[in-house]
Amino acid sequence: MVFLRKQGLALETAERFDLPPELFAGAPRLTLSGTRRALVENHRGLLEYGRERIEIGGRRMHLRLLGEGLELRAMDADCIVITGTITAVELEQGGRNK
Amino acid sequence: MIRMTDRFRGFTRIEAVGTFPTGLLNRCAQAKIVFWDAEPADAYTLRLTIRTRDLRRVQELGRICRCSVKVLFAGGTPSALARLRRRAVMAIGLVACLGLLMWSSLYIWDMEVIGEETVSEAEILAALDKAGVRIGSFWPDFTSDSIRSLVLAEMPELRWMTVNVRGSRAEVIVRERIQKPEIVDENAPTDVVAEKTGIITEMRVLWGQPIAVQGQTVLGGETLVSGMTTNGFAPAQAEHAMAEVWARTWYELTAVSPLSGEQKIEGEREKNRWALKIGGRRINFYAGSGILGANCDKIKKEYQLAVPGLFVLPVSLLRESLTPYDTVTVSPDTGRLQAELETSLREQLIREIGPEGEILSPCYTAVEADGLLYVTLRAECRERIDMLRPLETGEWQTDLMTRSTND
Repeated sequence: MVFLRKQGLALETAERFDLPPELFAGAPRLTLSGTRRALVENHRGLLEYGRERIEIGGRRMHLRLLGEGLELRAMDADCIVITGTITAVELEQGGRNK
Repeated sequence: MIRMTDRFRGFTRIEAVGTFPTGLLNRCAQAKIVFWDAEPADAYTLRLTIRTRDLRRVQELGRICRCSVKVLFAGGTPSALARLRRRAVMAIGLVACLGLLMWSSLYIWDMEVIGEETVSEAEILAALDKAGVRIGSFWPDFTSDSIRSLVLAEMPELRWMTVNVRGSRAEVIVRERIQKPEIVDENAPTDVVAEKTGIITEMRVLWGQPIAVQGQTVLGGETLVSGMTTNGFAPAQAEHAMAEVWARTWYELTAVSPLSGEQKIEGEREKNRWALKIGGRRINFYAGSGILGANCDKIKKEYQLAVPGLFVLPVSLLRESLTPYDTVTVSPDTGRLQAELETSLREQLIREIGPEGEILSPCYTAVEADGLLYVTLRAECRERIDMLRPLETGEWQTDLMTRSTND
């Protein structure tokens, strides 16, 4: 609880001082290039990998990409590049859908 | 490009099976192990490609993730070399082929001559052959300068040449010498004579003693202006006569053509036969000689074993397409045939009178006799008929003596 409070405080501080939250609070950043390519930075690893569904872990949240023919193009400790036809993006924070 | 270099350095396709195979991807990413073509087979199986050198580390990571890592196949240069190690004969053969190819590229197997206009390619190739440059020559023995000096000494018609060798192809570039125009010696004693028979219409004498006058009919070879001049006071002198003489001339030219001829009708069956040419030797893949029957067309095509711009090998495949044909007797359209002959006669006449002459009144007549068509052109023309004729030494000396005696 203390960590979550700290995390919420960090995000709030970042918002208040107009700082990038992905740098200040380590929040994952998702960049979509149309529906064919997605770049996820500050990830915490793959949780699920399938052709129609890819789930990526982030700090205090999960990021779920849904689509067809999804493919992991590149991956390192910081970034994941996914290609394919992306039809939806779901965010799950603290076990709740947002 | 990265994938290409990875493939060159060697890659391994693996299959990870476990309760959470995606964890292996996370571990690989954290360990900075490059992977590609990650493909989920089912919920518990994942296939991916890694560099061969990372295989051991991935197997260790698989053990940590409780995944069994199975190698599906390996590719790239290291595995190809490993396969070759098992096939020593093939490896030796490959090296031998490469060596032969490199050795062969030191010889000339094809020659091309560029820039020749009046001198034939065969003459240039013969001169090169005398200089030692021929098909099969070891080209490091020559330099362009040595070849140039030998060939230019052999062929004075050439002004410059160079030989560029690319791979096994020698490219011979030549420039021909521009011939000096004939220089008229304006001091040599000459007469102006009539080149053709005609009636003089115009006469401009620049130097010499006029013999003929305007309106006079002259025969071919008759003297128009004499080079022997005298002014009544001094003895006669032999000089260089010059004049421009125009005359009306008449021509009668006839052309003949048969009224029926044979036309070729190609047969449908085309037959190909093949031969292999190695250096100067030819191996035929067919029986019999190369002599064909009476009615048969032969088209040759040569396919040389070469990589354009890189190397040429002395091996080529020859294809000869043989097409038999029949002949039928046909009668061409007489009107069209007559028109063709008239055109031909007119062109011949233009060549006779030269570019300065003009055709005043052409008249064509056509007669058919004995299966032949005779077309006759009768034309009156206007053209220059003057021509210089040198005075022989004895001739003008005798003439001088005669004139001196008369004086």
